[in-house]
Amino acid sequence: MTKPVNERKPLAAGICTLALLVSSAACNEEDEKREPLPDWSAGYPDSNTDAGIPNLPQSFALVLSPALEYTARLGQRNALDKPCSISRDEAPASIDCIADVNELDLWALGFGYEIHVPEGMCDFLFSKPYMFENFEIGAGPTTVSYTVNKNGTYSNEVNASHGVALCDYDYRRFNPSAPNCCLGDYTLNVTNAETGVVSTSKSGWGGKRGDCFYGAAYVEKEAVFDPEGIPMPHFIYPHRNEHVERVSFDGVADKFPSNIALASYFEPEDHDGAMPAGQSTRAARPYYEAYCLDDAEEIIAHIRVSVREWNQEVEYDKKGNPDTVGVEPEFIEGPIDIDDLDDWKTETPGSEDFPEIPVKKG
Amino acid sequence: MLSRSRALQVATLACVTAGCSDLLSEDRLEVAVDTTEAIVVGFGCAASCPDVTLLLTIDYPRASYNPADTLELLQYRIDYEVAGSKLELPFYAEPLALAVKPGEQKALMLRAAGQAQRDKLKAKLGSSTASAKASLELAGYDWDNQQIFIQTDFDVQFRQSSGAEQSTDDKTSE
Repeated sequence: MTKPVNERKPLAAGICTLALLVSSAACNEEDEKREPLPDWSAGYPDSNTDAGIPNLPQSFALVLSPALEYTARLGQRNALDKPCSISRDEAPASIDCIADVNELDLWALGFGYEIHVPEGMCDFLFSKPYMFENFEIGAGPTTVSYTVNKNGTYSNEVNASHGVALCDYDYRRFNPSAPNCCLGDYTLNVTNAETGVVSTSKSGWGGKRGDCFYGAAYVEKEAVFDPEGIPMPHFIYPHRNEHVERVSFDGVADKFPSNIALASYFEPEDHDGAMPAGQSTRAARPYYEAYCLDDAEEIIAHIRVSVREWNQEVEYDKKGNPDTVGVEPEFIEGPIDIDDLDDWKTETPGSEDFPEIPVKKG
Repeated sequence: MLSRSRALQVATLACVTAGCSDLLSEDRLEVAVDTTEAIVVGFGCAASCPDVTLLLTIDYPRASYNPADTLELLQYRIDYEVAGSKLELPFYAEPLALAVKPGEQKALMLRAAGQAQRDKLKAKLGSSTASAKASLELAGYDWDNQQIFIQTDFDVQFRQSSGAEQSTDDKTSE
């Protein structure tokens, strides 16, 4: 091959790694001149990997997403240095894991993981991210009645105020941004004081379940919601093939002023030895869960993860105390808490209170 | 040969490194996916799905012709954005070995998707159909060994395959 007089590179030199058309000396010379192109090999059809996922899964495992932009840890609850995984030999099995994340990273940047399914292990993968009951859901009273007086005032009101039906689970009366979580129907009896005529009608309380929960499942990328507005857990069908499912959750800094949206972790001792009320209801999903299932939905392996937020990076780094309290130096104005964002311990201590934090729409 | 009357989505060449070479406006490199309708990518085939290819045209009209000012395109990737969905597909990529000299027009067939994309579509869409905006990016070097990146978009429709798919080769060639 003739090298051009003007020292510009010969055509083949640029593709030396592909075509091996030129001598290695020529290749090296060109390589020195060139910044390497971005590595797109993960997308090659013969790479035998999903894009951006370099390793084939060997165990049923939950690992931190390579897409996370920050440092985090994930390990088994009773041995945090052990990977959150179940090998074929260990199945059937269920393990608990904890993901440790600094509090602002979690709130602003979100969270994500991959569920790794090895060859020959799972017919189905069932992914069920965390969500909690933010506003308590309940059935409203079945009857509402009042009398309309001649001067337009109301009296004898039962489950009503100023002629408006009242339900304890309709939180809009306290905050227009709060949801209506009052379910069921009621019979409305309105008495005309002047005529004595009682008119009767049926109404529904109008609550919508999906407005009353919140959590990771609501901000999951690719989330699908049922008609009630509840995010649906999803089945994936690896059909005993290897599979990597990446699950990502958006940060909530623009939607929710607390870290409980993504930080599911709690200590029972902070909640009367039990769970926070928002996580203990039947429809709540207190963990990020992944199931490896056979064709008859029997469990081959089950992983559940709690996400724990850390108040101070220095404590995170030395694996110290995630819940340090105190104030930062007053270099701005006024004391600033070290615990900048609430977790379950600070949001709803005890076991009776629901968070009742309106979610910013849009 | 191609019908030039078909709608061409034209991309311009972009230098990403500081001190990019003098690819002036008269050196404009045009890259286009020749298609008048969405490229159909099937998934869920009984056996493996047939390759779906797109026809790419590259036009490198250079005013001050210098045969040494060859561009090399060494790899491409396609990213997909599914309309109205948060479905994330892995990108598809392949190496290339294409040199384009000033004044040249070239056409080449590129695979539009692979098995990784089909597996994900099968798992996520079932029997549904989805439309997507695909972004094709080519990378290589100019004559001064500066990196060049060229990008163009085209439409894709993903749908469960009922059999052999029609290649875009058939759709766009005359």
